[in-house]
Amino acid sequence: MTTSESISGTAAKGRILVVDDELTTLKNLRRILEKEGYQVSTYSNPVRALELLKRETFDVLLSDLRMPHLDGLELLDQAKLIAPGLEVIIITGYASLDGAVEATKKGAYHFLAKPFTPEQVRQVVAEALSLKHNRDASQSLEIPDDQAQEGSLVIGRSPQMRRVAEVIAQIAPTDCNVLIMGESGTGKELAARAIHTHSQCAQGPFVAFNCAALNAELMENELFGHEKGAFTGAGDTKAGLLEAAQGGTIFLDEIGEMPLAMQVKLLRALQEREVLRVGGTQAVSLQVRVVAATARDLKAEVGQGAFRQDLYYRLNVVSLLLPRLADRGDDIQLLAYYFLGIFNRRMNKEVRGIDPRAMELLTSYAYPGNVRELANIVERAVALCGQEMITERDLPPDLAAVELASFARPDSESPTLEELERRYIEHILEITGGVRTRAADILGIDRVSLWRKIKKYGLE
Amino acid sequence: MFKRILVVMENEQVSSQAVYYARELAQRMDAEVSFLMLVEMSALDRTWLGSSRSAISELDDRVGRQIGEQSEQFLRAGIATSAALRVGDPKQELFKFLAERPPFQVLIWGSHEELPGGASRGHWMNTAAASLECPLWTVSSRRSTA
Repeated sequence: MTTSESISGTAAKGRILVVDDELTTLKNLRRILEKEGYQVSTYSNPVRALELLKRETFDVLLSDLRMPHLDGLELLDQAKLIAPGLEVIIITGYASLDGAVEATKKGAYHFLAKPFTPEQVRQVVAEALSLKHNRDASQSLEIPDDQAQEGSLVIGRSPQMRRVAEVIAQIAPTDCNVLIMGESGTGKELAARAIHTHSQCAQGPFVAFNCAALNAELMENELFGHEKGAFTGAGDTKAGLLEAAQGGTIFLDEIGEMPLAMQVKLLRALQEREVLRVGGTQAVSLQVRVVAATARDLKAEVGQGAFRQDLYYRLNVVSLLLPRLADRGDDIQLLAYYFLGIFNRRMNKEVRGIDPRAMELLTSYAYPGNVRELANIVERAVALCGQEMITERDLPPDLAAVELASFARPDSESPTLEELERRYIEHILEITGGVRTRAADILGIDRVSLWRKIKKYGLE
Repeated sequence: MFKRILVVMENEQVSSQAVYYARELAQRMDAEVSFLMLVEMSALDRTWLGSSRSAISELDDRVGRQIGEQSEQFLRAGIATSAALRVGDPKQELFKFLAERPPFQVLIWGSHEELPGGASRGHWMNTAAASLECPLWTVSSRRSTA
């Protein structure tokens, strides 16, 4: 015997398929669920229910465990094959532990024991739907494959991050130097790695160096290397990091912290395209792309004499401004789920989602530490979470307790497209020694267009 | 790397919310925290301070105790701290202090809860904030603002 009907609800909260060989149970469940605003279809024959499942989409399947034609576990198997995203609630009148364990293994996480109260039904269905919505949300936030590798990505769907991705895609294949600007934790090194990964020198090394970590002497030794006997303790000749990055990219983080004396040496190396090791007399030719990063307003530092203007322009052929996480709130949910996946894998956990209240707290927080802080918060939450969902309890208490306000600093000026074009043409003319035919070839434009642009930008 | 947080306070006023938040933030970012107490003293008006060196010494003791109490909680949480007292023009003293040290990644306003940019428009921090090396955050209780 089969009963089947659909209730059209213009604002149905979810579509529920109920399968039970007991007609009284079916009737009760339909009544309870429809009262809650769900769109309900009921079947006493599981085979017919499967046929419907092939044609229509449901959010939740509520199925009896023991049925004559096809038991609940078999139905669960087949239903999951047809609709992997379906949440399944197993109804059991037998309180069968074995059946429950088996059902869990097959992907059912919810159980409803007969006899049940309307409140229990409402609760278990609401939980199942909440889980499904969370999972759907996290799947809709899936990160494209080209971004999905842990630790090698720039993630975001906000207009700001789309723009960043576009610029990276445009500039990566060129060999021009790049200055990445952004607050601490915005992912400057990840952006630098993305530029390297998509560059023509991707097969070469990517060498990162933090300019705030060492004093000028040690920095010179690290960057330029030394010859044997150059100073006490220099027992062997050692190549510096610039040489180590030969054929690849060197990432100079916190470039604004580089002492002025070192700035001169770096500028010379970039201009001459060669390095001289400490104590050395023979220059080593250098083919390295430089990507520098700073959290400071380097232009202002130039104005104050704290950073060399010539080095600034040498590094800032193209600039990339990474937005603060708080300025791209649309990406917080995406990133939170991204990190949830990472830390689930690392900690061998199966936290399935973030409940609405916890997500509200995450999305309303200001993140002075930007993406890195969000990652740390999610890592802690996954470690603490003892349930399927991250809740407010798993988050740092200050997220709910305090409110942050920022004194806005004027953003570092973003160059216009024209300014970028001018700088890039200038750079190409420089590396081609002013040979316009060659420059036009590299730029992918004809010589007349190049001539017009040179005239327009006063690059003659 | 995010590793240094500066809590800036003035005139012996300490916001417990700001200190609490600094501790939480430092813990999750594995950062060090520096406390800077700025005490305003105009070159022309030393009346409250008096001319004797003992007045500065007393101020030093008071601020030392005040910050010491805060630091203890940080140290118990495994957070490295340092503290400094500067007397003079607060804006100038703040910039001098920043110039002498490696950069901070976050500055937290650690005095009274109301935002310098809000209630007290004439506050020196309004003009200083634009020249700071990193963002300045003010902290207030969520409950009180709800």
